[in-house]
Amino acid sequence: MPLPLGADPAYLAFLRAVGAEDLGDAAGTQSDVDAVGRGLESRLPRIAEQGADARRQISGNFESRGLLRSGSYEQGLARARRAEAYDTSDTVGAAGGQVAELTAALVRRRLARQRQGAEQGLAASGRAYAESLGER
Amino acid sequence: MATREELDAVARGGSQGRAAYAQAQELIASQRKAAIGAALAEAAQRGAPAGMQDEISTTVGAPYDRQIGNLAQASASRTAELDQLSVGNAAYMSQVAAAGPAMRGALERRLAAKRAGGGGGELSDSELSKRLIGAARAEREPLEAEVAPTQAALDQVKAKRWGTAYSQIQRGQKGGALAGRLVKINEQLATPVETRARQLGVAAGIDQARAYGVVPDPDPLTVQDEASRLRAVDYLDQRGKPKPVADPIAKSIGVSEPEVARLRTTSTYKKMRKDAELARQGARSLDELKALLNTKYKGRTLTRLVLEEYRPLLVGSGYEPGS
Repeated sequence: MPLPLGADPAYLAFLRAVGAEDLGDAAGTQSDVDAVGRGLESRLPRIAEQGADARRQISGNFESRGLLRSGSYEQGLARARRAEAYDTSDTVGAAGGQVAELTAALVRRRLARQRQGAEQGLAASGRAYAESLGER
Repeated sequence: MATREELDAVARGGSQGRAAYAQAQELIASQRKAAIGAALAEAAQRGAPAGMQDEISTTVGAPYDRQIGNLAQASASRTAELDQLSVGNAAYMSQVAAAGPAMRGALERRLAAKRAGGGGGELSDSELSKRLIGAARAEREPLEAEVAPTQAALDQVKAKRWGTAYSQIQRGQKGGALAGRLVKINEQLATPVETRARQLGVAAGIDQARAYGVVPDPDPLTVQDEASRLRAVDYLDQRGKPKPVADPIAKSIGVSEPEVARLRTTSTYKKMRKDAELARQGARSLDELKALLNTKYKGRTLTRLVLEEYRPLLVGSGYEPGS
């Protein structure tokens, strides 16, 4: 059965504080997640450029040696592509991990606030009920 | 027993962990496809033997495959961790809720003992119930008194252009601060009562608390989070109660709410919003923006949507932020 908590100033103050904390927390996390996204957006084109440079250098080397039709030329290019693929996938994977960790940390903090809220609610209902019985 | 909200929290905890990894996996998969495609195209251009295609695909694709595998593993472990935390939390909340009746019983016994010693009578069950329900009903009064002046202002905002104000809150735009503050206060009115009802393990849950008139019906207009809003609409639906229009903009332009949501995801809408934002910064009038959008774009519905959203923000709209 419901108990009166609305008149409990301490409980209301707690709810207001925890509400503000949660809003700030969510906004801060979103801002951190956005920063990870921006970092990724600037990093990926640089990796692609470096990869293209590396392949151009390989082509130049093989061309000067007259080996453009050789199998080792194809292998060299494939190795350069693979190095670029490692850089790209590691960068995206690390960003994904960062975002997941930021989000998970927010979830953990929110769960802690939920527990705190339950405890505060119980304490406040005890105060309210005791007062209600004492009034008679 | 875990409440629906607690079960939702479990689902949210897990899905938030999964979403970040899933997004990274999708991005890596698309990068993989692009890298292999580019490598094969270049090889074909050079006249490389067809037999090398598989080798190129394998060499280029391997790092991406490895990372996708790593992410899948990390995702599963993070999801399990968050799910476990959420379930643990729900169990803890239930324990706290279950402590409520025990605590009330202890208080009653203490009072009875005190009265027996002092010659007073013990409260009967029906008297106790009556007192509790009365107290529960009365508890909203101080809250309502506290928010009454702001509620009047909220009504004013609602009457004027609430849907736009709501959109502003979502986008953190001019005028959104006032509306956001009002919405927050309105939420505070509902939240403590509902939270308390949940935490104390009300016999038949939130519905019973609502039957007492203690917990207000959810108002889709006062929640900022989309999932909560949909739950509120769902609740009203299930009980056959009139469902408020959650997005009056949809109504004012004669388009369904899901369609408005879809329109907002289109690239044309995003381009239009950028133009509208520039118009706002340049203190342009609504008519000027309308002329610009009509010239540049074909989508009439999209134009009406963007104009409706920016109506309060542009010169000559008749809207006064803060009124």
